[in-house]
Amino acid sequence: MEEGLTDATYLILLALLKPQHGYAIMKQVHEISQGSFEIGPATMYTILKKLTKREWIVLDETAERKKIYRMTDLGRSVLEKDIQRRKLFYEIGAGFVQQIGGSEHEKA
Amino acid sequence: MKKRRKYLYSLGVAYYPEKEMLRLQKQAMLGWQFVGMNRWGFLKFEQQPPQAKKFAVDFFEGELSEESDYIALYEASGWHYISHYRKRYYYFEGNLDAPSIFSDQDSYQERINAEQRYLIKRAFVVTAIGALLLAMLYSIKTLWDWQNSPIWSFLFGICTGLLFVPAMVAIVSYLMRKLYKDRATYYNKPETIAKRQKVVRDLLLMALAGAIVGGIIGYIF
Repeated sequence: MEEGLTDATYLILLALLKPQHGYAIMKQVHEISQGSFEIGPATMYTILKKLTKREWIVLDETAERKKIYRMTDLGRSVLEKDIQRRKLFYEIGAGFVQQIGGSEHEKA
Repeated sequence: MKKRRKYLYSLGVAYYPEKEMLRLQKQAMLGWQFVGMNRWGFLKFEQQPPQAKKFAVDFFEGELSEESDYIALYEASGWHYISHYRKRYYYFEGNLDAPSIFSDQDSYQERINAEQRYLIKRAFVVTAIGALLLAMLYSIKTLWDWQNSPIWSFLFGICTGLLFVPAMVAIVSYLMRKLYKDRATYYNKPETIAKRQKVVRDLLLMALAGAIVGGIIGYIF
């Protein structure tokens, strides 16, 4: 099985559902995660470079010479797969807690 | 009025960035604001009212065209750009509550590795220069036999030394990796590793390793 995305990469790709500036991604990650997750600038730069190399995102230059990151089709399919993976893990977890975790609670 | 200045010698931004940042922080508390590192490795400070703030330095591998976007990421998270050293080391300052510039171990390890590659690459450039100079020394010899002159021995010694710079960098890097094996795990606690960094002890170890390797090389040749 393919390895899942790290939380940081997952959140960055989510932020890039809409093309953005690097620094806007930082702010959005903070918002999407409801303030629970913060990516340091050096880490952010490293991850953006890595995702560009993997061609999950591309750097476009706008008419005003601003640099905007955009998610590629490949990036989008990776993201969608990871959402499915996370959903599966969530369901497994929630199901188990209800079945077993619940009865443990009753015993106690 | 001209600001008062002072200089301190850098511990080596490549090997002790964590410790160096604590030094900058201490100097800011004493009223000396860090403004940059010059090409001879001196840290420059200007007198200012004492301030409590943090410093960070990052190794930047990107192109110059990416510099402004790179700095914008720092500004967005509360770090202000101060200056750079050779367009590779970028210094920032922030409030005491600014987030650490690395937020996971992988990216910090990647930074350490990228820096290693850069240092080795630069060492080979030095070797190339040494080889070129040696070739020049020998070509002069065809015109004028100066092999008995002390200048010859002096220049010959220096140029030969340059050839071994990559070996030196490799030894230092290897020892630093062994001494601070878990450095990357402290990606968000640079102060912890800073307290463990012992510059004098390391220098003695390096000198010892250098002497051993130098001795072996001397014995073989």
